Amino acid sequence: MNKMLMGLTATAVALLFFGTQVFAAGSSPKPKRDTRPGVSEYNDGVKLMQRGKYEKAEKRFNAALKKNPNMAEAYNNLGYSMRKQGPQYYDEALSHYNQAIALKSNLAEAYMYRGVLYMLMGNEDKALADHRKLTQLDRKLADALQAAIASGEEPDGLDGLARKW
Amino acid sequence: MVKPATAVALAVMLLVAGCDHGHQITHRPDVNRPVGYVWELPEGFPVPLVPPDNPMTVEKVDLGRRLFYDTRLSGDGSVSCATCHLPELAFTDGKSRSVGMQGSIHPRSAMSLTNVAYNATLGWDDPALTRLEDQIRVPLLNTRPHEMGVAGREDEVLSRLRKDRRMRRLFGKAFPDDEQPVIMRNAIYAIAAFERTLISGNSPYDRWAYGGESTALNKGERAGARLFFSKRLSCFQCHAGFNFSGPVVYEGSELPEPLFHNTALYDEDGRGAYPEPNTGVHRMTGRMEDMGKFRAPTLRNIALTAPYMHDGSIPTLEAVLDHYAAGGRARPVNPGTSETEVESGSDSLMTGFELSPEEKKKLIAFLNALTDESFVRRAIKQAVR
Repeated sequence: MNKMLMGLTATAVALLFFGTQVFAAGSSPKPKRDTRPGVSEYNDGVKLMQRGKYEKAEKRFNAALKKNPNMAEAYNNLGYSMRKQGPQYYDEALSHYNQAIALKSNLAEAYMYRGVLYMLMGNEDKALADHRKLTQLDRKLADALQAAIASGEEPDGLDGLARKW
Repeated sequence: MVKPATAVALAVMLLVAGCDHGHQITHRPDVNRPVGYVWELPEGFPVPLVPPDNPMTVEKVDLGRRLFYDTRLSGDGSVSCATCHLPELAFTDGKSRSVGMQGSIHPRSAMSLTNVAYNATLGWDDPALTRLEDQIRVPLLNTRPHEMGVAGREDEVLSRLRKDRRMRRLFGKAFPDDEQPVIMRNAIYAIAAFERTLISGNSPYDRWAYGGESTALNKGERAGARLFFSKRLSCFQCHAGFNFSGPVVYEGSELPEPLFHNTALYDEDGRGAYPEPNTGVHRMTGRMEDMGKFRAPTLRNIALTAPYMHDGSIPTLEAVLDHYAAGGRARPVNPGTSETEVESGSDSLMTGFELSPEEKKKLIAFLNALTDESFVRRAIKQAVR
């Protein structure tokens, strides 16, 4: 029964995140045939990230950023891919989230990812500050981050926040 | 060329348009027109959704507040909305089942009006009831049982109000386009507007989560929050989001699917039947899969709203936690199989959990930290008695 409960929880959170993608401020999906520099590498990274292959994803996001250093979403997912590889990468992940936000101050997913990282790093005040910002950008993500901070547990379904271009 | 007086008026308009707080300050180009209501929302709260046919105005809210407490708005002049929705109890009545006109007992408990503006559906069990303007007709006009007993006595009720010069003036100010403003539709719309203003978001939890006050929760309350939002207990799955409730709506939100839950309170026939007439959504749809399904109410101010559940059958928060920890008091003896779960119809989250006495204490502390004392104080102060 516990497994069933956990499964339901994961599904509910994943659905929540999936549902928010369309509404996430400042990060609406771009047309499929996007030929801008770095997009192809970025999309590869998203695929890998969503399959849990974070190390390989990290490489592809770095490749994307080499071609297009202004791609906030690539910084954000790079940060996430690094964070998922372990606490030794937390500081580096944080700097990538910061860079993503510096490039795109309304990138809701970056506040979500960074808020979770702050929570994992034990910095509740900063996590809550990201939560407050998120309430202005994406209500559903804000609620999910609030639950994560309050519980101290990483929410399921965060991989699903990344989207392809 | 702009005249100096016009320039000043424009400047005032601009200043007021940029003002986030203070719900009674706005530009007033025509003294005979109602003043637009400006929301005074807690930090991090979205703007409530207001139906286009009932825009918020200061005059309408004021009229609605007065009508809410006015016993003349009942068949025999003995009860008001506030009879079952007392501000000191976060707009509940402290009773298991509410008592309406001439002592008629309602089958269900009065729901709190805390943050009612955000509810995607209203009432305990009606997926189709989504507007306050429609919901208010239920207690006014219900005859089984009589709640406020207005059905069939509308003219008598309105006549009482029309005799009052002050009421005529208030209706006229709130609905200046109507030749005869003292009508039932306007009374209902004004009460709906007032109820939308009952926004609570200044509990210790809010000050911690939204207000940047890291010490707003004490150690026990913070530990309780950890439990509440944990995957192990999953309380937040049903009492979700900023309103700790079922689905919410607000400006710019999508329209959510209504959600109702069977929390294994009853099993009258071994197949999960609930006692009549409280069969939940089943009451509306007649479908067995809707048996015993009720809306998850907000947990804001929950410590003030005992007794609990749709029929007030659980007296305390401690007993509510025992109920959920056991997976429901009407849970079949062998709760481990999904077959019995399907048969009883209880929610799949009603699986029960271990909860130590210490954890229970912390959870209760957290639930108490959802009480917004300033909301209650303000509501009492604004009550018309």
